[in-house]
Amino acid sequence: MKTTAFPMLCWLAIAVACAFVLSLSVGPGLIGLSGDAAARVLILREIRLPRALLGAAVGAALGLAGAALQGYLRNPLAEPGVIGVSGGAALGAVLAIHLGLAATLPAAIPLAGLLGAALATLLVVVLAGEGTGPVPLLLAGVAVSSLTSAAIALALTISGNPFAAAESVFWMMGSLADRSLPQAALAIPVIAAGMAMLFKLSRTLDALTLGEDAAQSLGIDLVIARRWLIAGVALSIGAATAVTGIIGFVGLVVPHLLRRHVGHAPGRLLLASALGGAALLLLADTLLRLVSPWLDIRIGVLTALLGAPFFTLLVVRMRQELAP
Amino acid sequence: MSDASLATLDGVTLRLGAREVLRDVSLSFFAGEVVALVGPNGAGKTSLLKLLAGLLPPTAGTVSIDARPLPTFTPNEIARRVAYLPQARAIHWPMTVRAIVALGRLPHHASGTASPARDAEIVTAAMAEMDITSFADRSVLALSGGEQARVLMARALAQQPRLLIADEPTAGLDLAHQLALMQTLRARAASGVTSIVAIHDLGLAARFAHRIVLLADGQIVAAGSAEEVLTPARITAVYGVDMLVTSVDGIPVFVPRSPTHSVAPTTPVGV
Repeated sequence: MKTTAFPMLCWLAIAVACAFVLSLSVGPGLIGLSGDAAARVLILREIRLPRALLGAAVGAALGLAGAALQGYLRNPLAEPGVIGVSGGAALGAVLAIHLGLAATLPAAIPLAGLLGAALATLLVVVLAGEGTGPVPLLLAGVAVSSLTSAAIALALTISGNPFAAAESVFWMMGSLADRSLPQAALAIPVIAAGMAMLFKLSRTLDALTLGEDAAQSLGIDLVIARRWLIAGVALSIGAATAVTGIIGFVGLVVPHLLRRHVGHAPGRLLLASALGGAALLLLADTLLRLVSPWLDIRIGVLTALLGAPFFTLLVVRMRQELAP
Repeated sequence: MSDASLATLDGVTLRLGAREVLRDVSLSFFAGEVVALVGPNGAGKTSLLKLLAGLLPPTAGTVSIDARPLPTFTPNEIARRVAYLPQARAIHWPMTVRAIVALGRLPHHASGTASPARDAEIVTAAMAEMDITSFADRSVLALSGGEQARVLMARALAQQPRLLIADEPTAGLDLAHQLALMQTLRARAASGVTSIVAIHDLGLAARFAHRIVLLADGQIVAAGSAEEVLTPARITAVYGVDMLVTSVDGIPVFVPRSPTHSVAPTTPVGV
């Protein structure tokens, strides 16, 4: 119950703080206590700080959006990209790369990503309609996701520029590296606004445990709740993807990891998943710098590499629990 | 029972798609009564209950609570007056029994009229009433269907509604818990709570409800006391079943004999 979830939230918050500090202090350019103070400040402020800030914000957004969508759809397999937002953001970014906008304006990729996320969300909302259950939303999300991945594939295929194609592919794998403070300053307020909307859904998700009729009879306005959900996911995941590319598995695995520790209550899972997502992404990104500072392994690749076997383990354990 | 009408349906018609589910239904419910809604499948019982709970808007007519039309309430205002127990028993996460029952306190949280200590008291009392205290801290998905039904009923009780709407709350319960549930509704009625339950067991309905409303084809066939409403002739007309209606030690007994008007031998029936 509440009394047992609170210590875990504290531990998660401590983990986020430690991971953040660790992320600031690890990297190829070792910052000793001796040495050039100006270079230290430069490395910290220009390279590691935006990376750590984005890692925390994007990880939190992924964990939170995953938990919110799993709760709303009452489906433990939902992940942040399920309603088409990240596909839209990816398509926007890829088009910005291919049209050469990224070369002229540094903020072109995130801006185009945000625009793509917004358009994809709009399309999903129009397709799914208002006041319908979760199934039309899910189907509309699948439709828009397929559409965006087809469009991305098309852009890659017909592109006459192999460098743009390679850059697109790399971008889509997700990375926190080489993001500037202005980019972080562009994304983080949008991510925070979306996350604030998703946190409002705590009661709604708890009530939805009993199905839609019962939730409505508990005083939940499901039409409004769904607007908050879609807007919250669109802003937080749209902005996160626009700046860092697609980072998989965090939004899927983190709620799974933490669910049992909050008594399976979908409302209480929100904050826990946001903290867990932030800690996980910061640690994964730090690990990346420690293991392979020279090879440019992408964070999205690492989270998938770590996430897939871990998820397999969860499935096996769940199967054992469900076995008669 | 008092004269103040708690909930009213006034000339309510409900069309779902091409089908007219309810046709010009007018009905009043009073504080402190248990009303049993009976009728064959597809008569419109669930729709009527959903209209009363504000889950469906009527196509025509007005649904009122405290003489105020439902659309003038916010969803939370309705939830603090009306609890609705759906027929489909959905529980999606393996939360503890206590946590599920505590969901009944949500509307009071949202309105800021709750204190944690009082909530815990109310939840504990609701669990005791539904005899689920012994598995309060177990996962609700590890329970049997009937036990889950009692958990969900306790959730509705914890909501502390003035109007409790339950769609087949006794379905799937064992005999002892069916009786206990109906007695709980009567006990709540004594303190002013109105219960409206859709129910298929005419015996339970006749024994525990103050009033029976018989519904068929989206219209009220009869409403009143069990003796007035549940006559053998009317049951045959509505249900298409030849019914033995009697009473043993003052307890009404309904035994279906055959699905049509065939003449079956009137053998004595063990109770």
